[in-house]
Amino acid sequence: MSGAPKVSTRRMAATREVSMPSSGPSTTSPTPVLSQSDRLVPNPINEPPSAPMPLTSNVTSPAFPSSPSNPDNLPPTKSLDPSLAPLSPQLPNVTSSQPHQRPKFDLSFPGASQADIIRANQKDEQAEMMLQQQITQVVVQTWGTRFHMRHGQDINFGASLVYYCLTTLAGSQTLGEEYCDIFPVTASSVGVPRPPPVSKRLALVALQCVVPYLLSKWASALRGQGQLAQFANLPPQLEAFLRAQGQLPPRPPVVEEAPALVENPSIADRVKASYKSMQSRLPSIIPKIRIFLTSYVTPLHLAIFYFTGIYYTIAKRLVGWRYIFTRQLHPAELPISYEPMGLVIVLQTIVEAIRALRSLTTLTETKASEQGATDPEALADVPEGDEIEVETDEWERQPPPVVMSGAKKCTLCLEPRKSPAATECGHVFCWRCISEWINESKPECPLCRQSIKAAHLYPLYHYI
Amino acid sequence: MSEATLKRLLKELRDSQRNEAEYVEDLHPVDDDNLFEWIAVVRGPVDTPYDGGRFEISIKVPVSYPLAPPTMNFVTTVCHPNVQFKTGEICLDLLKTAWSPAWTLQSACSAVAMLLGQPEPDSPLNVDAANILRCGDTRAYRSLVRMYVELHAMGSSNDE
Repeated sequence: MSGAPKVSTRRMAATREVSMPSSGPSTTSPTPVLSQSDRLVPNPINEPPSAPMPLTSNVTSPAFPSSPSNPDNLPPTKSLDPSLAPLSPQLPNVTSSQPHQRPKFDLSFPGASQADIIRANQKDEQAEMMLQQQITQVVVQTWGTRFHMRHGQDINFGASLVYYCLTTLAGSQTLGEEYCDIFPVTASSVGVPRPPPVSKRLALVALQCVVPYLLSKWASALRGQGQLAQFANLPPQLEAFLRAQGQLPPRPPVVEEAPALVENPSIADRVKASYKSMQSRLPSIIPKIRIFLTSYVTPLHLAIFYFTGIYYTIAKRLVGWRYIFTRQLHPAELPISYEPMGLVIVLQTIVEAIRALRSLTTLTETKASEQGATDPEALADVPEGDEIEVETDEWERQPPPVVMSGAKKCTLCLEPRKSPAATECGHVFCWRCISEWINESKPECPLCRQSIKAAHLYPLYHYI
Repeated sequence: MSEATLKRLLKELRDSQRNEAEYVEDLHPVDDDNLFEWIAVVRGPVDTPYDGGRFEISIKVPVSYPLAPPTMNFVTTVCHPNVQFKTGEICLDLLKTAWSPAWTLQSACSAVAMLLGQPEPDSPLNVDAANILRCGDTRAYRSLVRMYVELHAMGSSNDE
């Protein structure tokens, strides 16, 4: 499976090298062909396949066998070397010194279509998930569920890191890319696509796996600090009690700074202080940033992908990670246009942005009006009738209380239910009664005899 | 544990005094200090040879009630395929494997009364009665049962 694409890339490299001197069908006039190849060799891979590219979309494999038999062939070792400089800059020199006949067909590969890139991505996600599940199974069997609950995120990160290190970083295709016959390339400055170098591969893996993981870790750590900060406002007795109970970590020792330091704060101290003040504000900002990213940046990026069809993820855009398509398409297999999807996403994002802006303005307005209401004079102005109306409105908005007389008893202890628990079949008992029955007798519902598990009992809060 | 059992038994006593089940004539503890031994009197279902009979059942409640089923025995001599003729042992899955704490003593007594009308000759404790029924000789079965009902179940009711 993994052999075929490699061969094709070698061929690609080889034929590109070879095609320039001479081979293929004879042409009498070199000049028009030269202009054609000039146009086509630096053919931007990034162009969507829907763009008019009559020759590039028909990469002909029959052209490949002809190259090895060519007497003018360049040594294969040279042509296989990926570190070779791209050919296009040499092109004018070559043509001037060696007026060979040029091939009429084009040997550059078309860019991968959106459908292929998306499919490859899905396939990768699937493979990644499979790996994660298998590693999770091993971990759970070895160290137990508790360990897994504590380190699940790290385990998943490790699994995807392993997956991308073994595929992308090692320089081969991922399973999804292989499945879709697409091959990663990077466009160099001169415009000829080449296999991505190690630095780019490393950058992609880092941006794809490591950075999101570290960011989420950092965010959760900040959130923890934010929760701790809430305890700072506790009354001292309660705080002391909680500390005694072990609910709170011991108070960090307060280091009293020397007054001299305070008077002349060094730059490092100032930086520290500013970072601390930022840190205290960050937990409230991070969710907003996350919402902004998920509701605006990601969809818009996806829309851009649907229009241009180059970079599916932001990480790939940052690295400049493109794909070429190495399979020959049948004439019937026309690439699907994704532009309508992009349009829909753009429209949706615009509508959402407008709504968010509107709610923001109304929020500020209500805040302003609330501030006005707290003003004693403004309060005096409000007639009493209005207040009463508001109260009744709020009362109506509340859901009507559920009245179920007689149904509040547990059928096991025949008393009103205490801390009710529901089985999967929907019958409600006291938590204690039903768990005793399950644990000490047999795991089936006392009312309908459906088999139940103690782990599948649901505690019902705020329900009597 | 035991406290919960006592609470539930008290509840059951109160409930059984308040609402009577169809075939359960009487259900009460043997004496007020011991809630773990009860006496029940069930009536024979209508349209069965047991109709008109009153059958006394002694109930022993285990400490782990209602997680474990109560033990029930007929005190009155009963001729029935699923009742041991001499000891009065009752073969009813509900009182053995199919017990569920949603049952109460009263509903269990009702179930026993229903069992009188619907004998199950394939799991007999009284092989002779079961054999008659299995042969399809309902007339013999009915007359035999009726004889025992009138001998034991009706006489005691007349005495009282």
